Amino acid sequence: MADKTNVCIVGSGNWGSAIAKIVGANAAALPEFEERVTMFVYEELIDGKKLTEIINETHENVKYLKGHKLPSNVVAVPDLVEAAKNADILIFVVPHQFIPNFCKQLLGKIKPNAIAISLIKGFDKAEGGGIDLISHIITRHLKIPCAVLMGANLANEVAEGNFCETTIGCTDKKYGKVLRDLFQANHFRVVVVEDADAVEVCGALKNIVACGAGFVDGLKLGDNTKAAVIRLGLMEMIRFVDVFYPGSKLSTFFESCGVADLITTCYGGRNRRVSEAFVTSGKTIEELEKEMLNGQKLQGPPTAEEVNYMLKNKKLEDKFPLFTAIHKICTNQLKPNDLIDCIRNHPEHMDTSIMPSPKL
Amino acid sequence: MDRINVCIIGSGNWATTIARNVGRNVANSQHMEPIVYMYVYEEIVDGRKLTEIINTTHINVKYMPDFVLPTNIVAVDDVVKTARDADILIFAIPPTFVNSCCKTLLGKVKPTAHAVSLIKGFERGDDGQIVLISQIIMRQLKIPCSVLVGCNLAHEIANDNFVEGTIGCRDQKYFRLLQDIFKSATFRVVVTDDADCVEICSTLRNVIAFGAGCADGMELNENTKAGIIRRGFLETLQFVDVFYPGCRMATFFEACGISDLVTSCYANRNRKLAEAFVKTGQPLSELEHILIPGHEPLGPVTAELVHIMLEKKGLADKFPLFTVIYKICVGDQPLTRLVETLRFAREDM
Repeated sequence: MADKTNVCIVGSGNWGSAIAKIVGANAAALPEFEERVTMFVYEELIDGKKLTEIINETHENVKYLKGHKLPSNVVAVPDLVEAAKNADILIFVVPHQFIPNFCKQLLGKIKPNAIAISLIKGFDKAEGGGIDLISHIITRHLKIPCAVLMGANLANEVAEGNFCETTIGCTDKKYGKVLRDLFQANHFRVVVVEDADAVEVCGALKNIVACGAGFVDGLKLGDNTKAAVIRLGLMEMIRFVDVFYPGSKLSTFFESCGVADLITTCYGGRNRRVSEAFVTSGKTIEELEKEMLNGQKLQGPPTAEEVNYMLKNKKLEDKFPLFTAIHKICTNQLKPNDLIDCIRNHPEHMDTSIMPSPKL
Repeated sequence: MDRINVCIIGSGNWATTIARNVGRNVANSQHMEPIVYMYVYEEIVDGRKLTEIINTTHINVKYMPDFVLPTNIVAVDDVVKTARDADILIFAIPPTFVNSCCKTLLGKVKPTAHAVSLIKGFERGDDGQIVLISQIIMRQLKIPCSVLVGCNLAHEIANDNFVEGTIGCRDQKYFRLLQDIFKSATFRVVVTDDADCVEICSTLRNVIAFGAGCADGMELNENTKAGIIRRGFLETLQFVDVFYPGCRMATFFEACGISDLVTSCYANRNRKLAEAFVKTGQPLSELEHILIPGHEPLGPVTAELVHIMLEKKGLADKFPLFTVIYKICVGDQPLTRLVETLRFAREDM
């Protein structure tokens, strides 16, 4: 195919707009990409004017990324199929609950050899319970391969041009280079790994751990305790991937999507912040979402719930005491104070107890 | 069967903190001698000997005035008397005293004794390389030496906050014993045989914490700081692989690795020092005295020794983060190089 690679960004929120700055600039600069990048924008009226018109005239997403210019080759399109129909690469960056519906609209309307990449952090609920990875949903619905991009990437910091790293998980090696070229920037370092499921699962599970870190902050238990929760959280993430998505490499957890994203989320993210307030204010998560997040949903608590469902099914709750305790605290089955008691006898600490008695 | 005799060499706040766990654990064990000698460097506090104060009030008024020791911890002012009957010698003294202490003890300890070092830091070898404290103890006393690391704030353990530690021990038959000696309901200990890795991890983290502090000082954001921590983690792995081959990746996921690194990069004094270094522009030597009097900040000196070791092997460019942190410390490179380094660092390690 001598044609240039067409790129479409499905989504125009905060993260979608931040990434559009990079993708747009790369598409304009690199010969292998078609310069014009379409961005599907859910049409809304801002002060009586259509958001797509504002973006196409002023090159600013005044609603979700105010104060940043998008490259002029990023074109806002209000029709999903219109935006996506010619694309060779579809970048999905919308709230995860929209995915099944979007995929239905796109089915049969996109190029059969297109590939997708999901920037969506979170899981969907699988039918009958448990978690369904967003990339799997996209692949299942659209019958195209789907890579993922996850990392320690706060949207506003990326838009500001602050340096950060990210991880692309892509099972098919042959797409690695084109995806890296599309996202890599001077301030945005991309590492591509093949362990796509692990990358995506990390992106979701870290929000559970961040709730635990927030509880520790709220209880004022100190830095070492918080570090212990982060570490035990990481160990449970690794074990979870091992049980439900076997075959991953330990080194993937050293990528930005693993350790780095986990740490940033446990110190900076909103799951941590709301969880801290959950302890100090005594309000419910829903009340705090209204007060602190304008009604937006936290990802940690629902992820903890789905994960708990999966663990229960496999009778593995006691092997994941941190995830289990966080879920129970979020749902008021346990008090935040009980967190430490739940992880005191973590399987991680028990390894040596099978050793013989201390006779020298 | 003789009971296992445990002693503690040192009486600073870390030694005192751990003495409470040790005292309680031996008292509850049928296998261990219930009295634990603790070597206390004799000082006069308000006209009384410190050992006397400790043995009558069970409070180390000098280093942990709010903390009551179990009554089976007995302060002794003579290090040989403390150690001569011990099967387990716990070292918790400043690194600069290790050599002289070992010289005094040589030939005076049981030949079958086992040492455990709780000492943070290292010695500068003759050729400028890092010499691990456990190696010094082993070489000088001719007994095996394990290490306990992973908890860098003694007062959090003293307050019964939940804390994790890692023991590095090459001899499996000591695994359970060492865990039983140190653990408590709030201090959870994992034992691994990857002992060098445990010790070097806890050393290198000071370099990374210094880098993280520089990022804080420059008011770089969370993502960038996470990038520094991650890169530091990778270089630690690589460093261990070159200089202490045979270590396992899993060890980096223990408290001595990930947890220690996180706490250091968000809470520790190297981080604080680096932040002030960037913000004030004052030399490190001056800031040390103002910010952390009485403590040697390990970040800059570790960076220097690491750099010497890397240069010797011609590997400095394979460790861009460690190298740039050293160069920033000594003023050879501007701070801006820190982020530049992340940008161009190779991934294929």
